[in-house]
Amino acid sequence: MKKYYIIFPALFLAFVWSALTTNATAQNIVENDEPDFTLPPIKLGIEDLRKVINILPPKDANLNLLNNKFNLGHPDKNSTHGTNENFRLSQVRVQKIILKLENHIRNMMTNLPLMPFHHTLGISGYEVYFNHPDELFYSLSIAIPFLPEDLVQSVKKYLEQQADVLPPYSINGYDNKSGKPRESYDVPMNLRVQGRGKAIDTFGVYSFWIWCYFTDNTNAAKLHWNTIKDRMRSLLSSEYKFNISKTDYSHDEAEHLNGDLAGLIGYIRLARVNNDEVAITNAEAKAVELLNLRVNLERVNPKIVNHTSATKSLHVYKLARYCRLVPEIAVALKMYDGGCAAKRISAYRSIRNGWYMAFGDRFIGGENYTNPLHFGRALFCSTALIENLSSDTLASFVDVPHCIGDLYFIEKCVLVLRSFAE
Amino acid sequence: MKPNFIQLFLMFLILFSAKPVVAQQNNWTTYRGDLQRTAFYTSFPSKPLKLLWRQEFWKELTGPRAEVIVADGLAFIGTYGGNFYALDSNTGQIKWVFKTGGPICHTAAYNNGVVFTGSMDGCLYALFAGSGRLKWLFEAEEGIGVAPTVCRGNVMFGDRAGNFFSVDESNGRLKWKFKTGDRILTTAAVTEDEEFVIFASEDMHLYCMKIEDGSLIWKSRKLQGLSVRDYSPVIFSGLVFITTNPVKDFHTILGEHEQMLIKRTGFVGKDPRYIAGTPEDIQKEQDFIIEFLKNNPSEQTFYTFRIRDGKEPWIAPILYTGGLHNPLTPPCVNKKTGEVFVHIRSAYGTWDGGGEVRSYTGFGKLDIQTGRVTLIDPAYPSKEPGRPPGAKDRPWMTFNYIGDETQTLSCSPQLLICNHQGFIGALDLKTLLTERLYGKRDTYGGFYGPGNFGWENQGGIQKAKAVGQPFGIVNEWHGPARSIASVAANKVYYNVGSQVLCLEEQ
Repeated sequence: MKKYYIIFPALFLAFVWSALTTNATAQNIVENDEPDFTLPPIKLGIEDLRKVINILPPKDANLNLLNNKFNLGHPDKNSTHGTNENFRLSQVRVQKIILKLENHIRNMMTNLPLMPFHHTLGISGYEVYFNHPDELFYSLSIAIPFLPEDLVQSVKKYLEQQADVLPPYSINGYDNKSGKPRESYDVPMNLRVQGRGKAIDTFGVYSFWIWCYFTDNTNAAKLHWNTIKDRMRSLLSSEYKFNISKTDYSHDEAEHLNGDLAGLIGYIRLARVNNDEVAITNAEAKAVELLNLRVNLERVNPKIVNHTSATKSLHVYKLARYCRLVPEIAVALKMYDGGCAAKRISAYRSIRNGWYMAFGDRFIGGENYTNPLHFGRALFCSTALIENLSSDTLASFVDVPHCIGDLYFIEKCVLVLRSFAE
Repeated sequence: MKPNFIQLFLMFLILFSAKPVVAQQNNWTTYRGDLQRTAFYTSFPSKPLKLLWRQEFWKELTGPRAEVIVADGLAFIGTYGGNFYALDSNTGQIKWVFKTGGPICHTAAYNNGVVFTGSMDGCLYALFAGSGRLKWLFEAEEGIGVAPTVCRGNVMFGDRAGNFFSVDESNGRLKWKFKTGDRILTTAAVTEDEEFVIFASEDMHLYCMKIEDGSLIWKSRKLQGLSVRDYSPVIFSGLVFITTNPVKDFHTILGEHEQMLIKRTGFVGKDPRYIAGTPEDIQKEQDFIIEFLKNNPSEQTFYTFRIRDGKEPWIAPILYTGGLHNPLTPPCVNKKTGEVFVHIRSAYGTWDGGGEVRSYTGFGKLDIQTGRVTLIDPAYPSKEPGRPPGAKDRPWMTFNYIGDETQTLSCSPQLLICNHQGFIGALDLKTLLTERLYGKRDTYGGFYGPGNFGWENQGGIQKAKAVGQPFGIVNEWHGPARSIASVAANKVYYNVGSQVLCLEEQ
């Protein structure tokens, strides 16, 4: 009789695993591709939010790496966890990624100012990346702990200048046609997308905070405070429209939700620096609202692939809810989503071997020759921050940059180094 | 009468000195069949083809650019799961598996009992073909996503850091290394005299290096377009051909060129699907296209360089025809006749039988002296009601020529062969009749996809699930058919839909 107690749960687990891993894939547009794993929504409160906000990124992560204190993470099937030889291999991997990061940023700094990146997809037309300072400030700031001192100084100096010219919380971004080309291929100017970048949400406030945080720049946090309050007014005073059950979003709404939640987290931290209790109270209420939306989106809605658009809207899709995924939101998901995100990401990723390659095979959307950059970014960030793979495995997903000044490449390197260090 | 010494000497010369142009093809040891990447079969099995065996890899995925390497009674292929498989070439049974640390994106190479493969883990592996035991490995700087090129004791390949390596075939030691400006995603080719290796980098230059010492002989001008990925240079008769994909999105460029070609003819009728053209008209059209490419260099995607000096002898009148925004299919060469086959667009005589999806896409023979192309016109009168008088047609789904879908050309002495979207089609070069040799469109070789299970709204996904098969392959919509089938010992080995099919004559 006892045997059945073992067999039935095992069968059930096998069934769940099978459902997660053998999900059907759609045809020319790879859209309906998610396991139907859901949980009922939960109600989170102010204390739940504060737990998330109080977790700060490590400033001295590099010290652990320098002292060879590696966290190899969960020993998954690809991990080399456990032996001296494998520890040595991890050291080699860490050094390689530190070097990749340093070389990439050094090359970027010597080529400034850079033009936004033009990416041709195929049937979906063109995309432009890196045309707003929010991602620039975010990626360079989080890299600071892992850079050599001379490069830290030049990055700090550059960001300080940029904060005066075009701070990351600005609405406007960079001109799509100004600066040195990022691409290795020639892009005729008439094919480049016209206009300037625009902030799509308040992520830039988070970027501003993280710049202040990693550069210990409380002066800037105070100097810009009133402008930032103006910038956040609209978000704080209006109703946030987002339906967690909707499956046909097509304007990156889930990405904006991440961006705005991150923006609120940054805002609350800046308000703390400025001792602005009223701002904290207002923002916390809004942040709890968005936190509930984000966590419950994951719990109740399995549709992780959403339609989006490039210059054309044909055949272009996005893992929108994993774009602009800062560590704090990932922590919230890990704490409150009942494991939904981790399962979905694992299932989605594991049937797409090679997903992380720059300009790799098209794994999302339709008749394009390669993936949009946001695909690899979203999958990498969610894998690194939610899935709990070993650091070694994560390191194997760091490929090569798409271009000079590939801000997502910087982010990937940093996430792996943090994973080794934390 | 006994042959005298001179006669014997001449016979010896003929037998051993002159390389036979057409040799018995018992093995398929390298990407596109030879080091010049001509995609030529000395013979192709007669139709109809039947399935001898099939091995599925959809849980791991295979590279859509990868070919099956066949030697020593084994068929070799690697997967994105990182496994390198040796299959029994007669039964498809797995003989051994070698695990690498990253996806294997491209084709292996075989020489002297050793099989070589690169992996995204950054290593090039030399394995004993019979056992799968590691002979040596070479660690590159980044992942390797190209097929190795084995020639004169060297194994040559590029990595994703932009390095091009030559390592000693016997022990894996580095002989020389050359750094380019970006990733190398293109397999190298070797000149006919085996003196030089030619490869392209994503810095959009073509490089010609001396195999012996790695010295740079020439570097081409910067190629236009996004990428030279997946394919390889093709070498024939002192020339090297290379293709790119345009920066302009492919539907836009295909549509613009189509309208441009119609307008140039002065056609004013209602139905431009068949526009009669004399040889002079075709000549003038090609003059026009060449002038257009000179004036719009960013739209050139087919390049020819002389091997001796890296200069372009001419610009071919070839407009972009690639599908899914791939680089357009490289030419293939009938080594028996010296014919070079290319994809081409022309308003005359070629139109799309599949509902006018980017029409005016067809095939031609490239004259390597002049760079001009002779159109190959199919021999079927159109059966479609309302088709303009004189229009010719090709039966749907026999031999692809749809401008916006991926297709890759190869040839035998009798056939021009096209791998497209789950089937192999052929054009008989004598009769100009087309025929589907194996598979069916949208079926991944006949086994998955809407052509097999029905479309999504016809319950295709559920039907596939019910039989435990994938509906589609996540990295292979519309083929993408960037490889050609391999032929060895009169069998066809076809990597399609992340499976290997072995086909033989009925």
